[in-house]
Amino acid sequence: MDFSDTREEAEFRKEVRSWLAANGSDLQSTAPDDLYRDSDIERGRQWQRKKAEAGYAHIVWPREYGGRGGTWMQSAIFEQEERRLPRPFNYFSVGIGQCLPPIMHFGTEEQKQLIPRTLQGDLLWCQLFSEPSAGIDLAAVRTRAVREGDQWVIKGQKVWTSGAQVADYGILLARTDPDLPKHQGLTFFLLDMRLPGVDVRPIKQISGHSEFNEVFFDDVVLNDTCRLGEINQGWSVAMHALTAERFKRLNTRMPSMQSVLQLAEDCALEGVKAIDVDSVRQQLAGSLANKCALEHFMSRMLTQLSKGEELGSEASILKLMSCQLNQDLSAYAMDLLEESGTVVDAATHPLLAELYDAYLWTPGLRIAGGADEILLNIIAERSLGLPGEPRSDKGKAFKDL
Amino acid sequence: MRFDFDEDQQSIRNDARRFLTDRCAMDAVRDYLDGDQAEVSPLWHEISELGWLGVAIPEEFGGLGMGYLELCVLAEELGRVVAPVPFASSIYLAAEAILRFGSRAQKEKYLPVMASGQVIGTMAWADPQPGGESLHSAEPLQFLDGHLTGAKWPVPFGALADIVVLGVRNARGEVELVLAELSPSVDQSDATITRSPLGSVDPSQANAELDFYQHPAEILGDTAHGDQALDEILNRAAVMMSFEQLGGADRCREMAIEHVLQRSTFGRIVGSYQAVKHKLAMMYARNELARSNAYYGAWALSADSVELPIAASAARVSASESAEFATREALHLHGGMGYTWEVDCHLYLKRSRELALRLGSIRRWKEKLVAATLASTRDSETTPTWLANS
Repeated sequence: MDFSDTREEAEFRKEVRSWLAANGSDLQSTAPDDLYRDSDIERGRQWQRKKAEAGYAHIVWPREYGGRGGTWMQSAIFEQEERRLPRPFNYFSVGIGQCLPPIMHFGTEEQKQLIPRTLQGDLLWCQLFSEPSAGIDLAAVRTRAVREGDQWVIKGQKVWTSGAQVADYGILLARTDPDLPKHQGLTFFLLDMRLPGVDVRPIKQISGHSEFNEVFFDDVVLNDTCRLGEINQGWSVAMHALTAERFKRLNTRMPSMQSVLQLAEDCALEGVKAIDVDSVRQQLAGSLANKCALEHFMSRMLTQLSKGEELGSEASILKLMSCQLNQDLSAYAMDLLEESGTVVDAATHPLLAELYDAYLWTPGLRIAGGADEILLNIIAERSLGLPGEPRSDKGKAFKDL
Repeated sequence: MRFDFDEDQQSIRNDARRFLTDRCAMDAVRDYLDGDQAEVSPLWHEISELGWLGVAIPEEFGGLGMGYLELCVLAEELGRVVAPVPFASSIYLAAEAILRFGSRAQKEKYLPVMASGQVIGTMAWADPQPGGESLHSAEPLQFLDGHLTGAKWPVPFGALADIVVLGVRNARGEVELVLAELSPSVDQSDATITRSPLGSVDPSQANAELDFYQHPAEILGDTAHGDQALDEILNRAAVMMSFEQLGGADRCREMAIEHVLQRSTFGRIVGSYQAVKHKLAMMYARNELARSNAYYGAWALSADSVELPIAASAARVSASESAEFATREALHLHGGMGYTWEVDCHLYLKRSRELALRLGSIRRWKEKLVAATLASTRDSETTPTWLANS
């Protein structure tokens, strides 16, 4: 039971620190209310390029694809050190976390050329999975891919696609055989977002911003060389993409616990500092205990990974419990300000604006990538061995559902 | 970083689990409850022979000198079987108090016999709450000129303990830690101590009231700062107790899963209902987070970290809350059978409630967590990494 670095880890941390000191000192963070400005994206690309040149773009991958051949622990150390700096939004997390791993696993050599180009900051990606009638039940996708000679013609609609408005490529899950049961008739493609017939329309979210999009395909023509994996084997490729991201912090967009404590120091309730009010201390203690537990839960996950063990439903627990904490804490922190908590003005009250951003971001995060109820099913079935849900669609052809 | 128990500690866990499954089946716990709780359970002598009592006591004082991580492993296993033994009060509390703050002579005299199980210790630190004044004596406990007079309650295992460490307030209102032998009351006529059994939330950890009259006792070591010493003893005990609580909570989850997988209702396995699955998944998630804080506490304890007050409080709060949830809901998921004496759920429910009170309530530990965390943030050097990173 030891938190301290091994000698090798300490050396690596030292190397990372001095590299960050030399290369990361003039970074700026991206304003959360407008992520996709050209100038911000350009700064994001530059930072990604610098990391790639120094071998930090994907530490655990082999050097020939732009990685470093390092360990998960080194990857976590880099992330810890990088987090200390203000830095641009990570526009590459979907690409590196979800899109590249199935290419690495299933891709042809030609397709794998996309890996170093992405790690170097040249290519941005999006994930074209969810549809209006296929969210939680992803295998129900209806977007069709019809074979015509050496080409495929794509027609249909995707939704909730983060970053589609700036992406160069997308990973696409499409139906190639509706006569097969729903999981068996899907094929996976790599799609150039600039092809004719691709139409990206922003979705206005509850925050008023547009990070997600609808994407329409109107007879988009793809070469068969864009297919990743075998025909009608797309489901297992998609599962690879969704489970590849083995260790990554959630993009919770929550102000730090210390800034919430500071807020309680700074504001007064009935003439007493909030932090000196017993009920406030009790409430914040509950959040502190949960935050502390989540951080140490991640340390346990990392220890398991670095021993070469597979993770079970840990990522589901992490997401479920982090969202619960952040939704509760962001609302409670706003409560500390009483009626002035209603004011949202980033210029004069930056912390309040951040809390409001977290409060509006978390309901989305609770749905995205597995809603609470699905996560609870995953935990119950995968970790506790409880029976799966009854299903009425098993074995039936997709067209008959 | 390696944030887990190592292979040797895992093998201690496996051996302990095998032993306790065999020697501390639930019938043994019920037998103890049906018997005389002024006698120690036979299990006490068996775990003494295995050396468990002295796992963290240095070899020079008759222990095995292994460490606190090993003690935490054993604590979790004892919690899993709701072992009816004075392990917490004798080892985490009394022996730890003597080891950390006793004089050399006190350590040499008591630790070897506590490590061997011949002498059972206990500790009573709490001031009786207003409105709950002593049952037999209105006189508050006083320590004057080497003698105790007055009453102390509740004292866990007070009916059978051989020595006790007491928190006593002096005339200046400060806490002094006092060590007293509780000689067997053979001849009642000139006894300077009376033991009166009290009802207990968990009768296998039976409370008693101790009434002293001019009973000889001594200051523990030379603790001039009894308040600080007491705080440190409670922090250390909280970590070990969080493992006991976690052991019970995890065992409840397993029992509930076994039960809902073998029961059917309306033609379906009970465990296939989503309301049941989700409750158990939440129980698992909460236990896993409590485990993460308990590991943090174990690390702080074994590394003598300045983060101990934070880690102990976090471990304690999470363990008390997750054990309350797990023991309640496990009983509920057993249906009507869970409400009967024969099914084990009530043993865990009572133990969990008992342990959640024994070192002070969740409210008290939440306050400690906030106070310790705020103190740590006044200087970035002392701010824990998890807080600085979060």
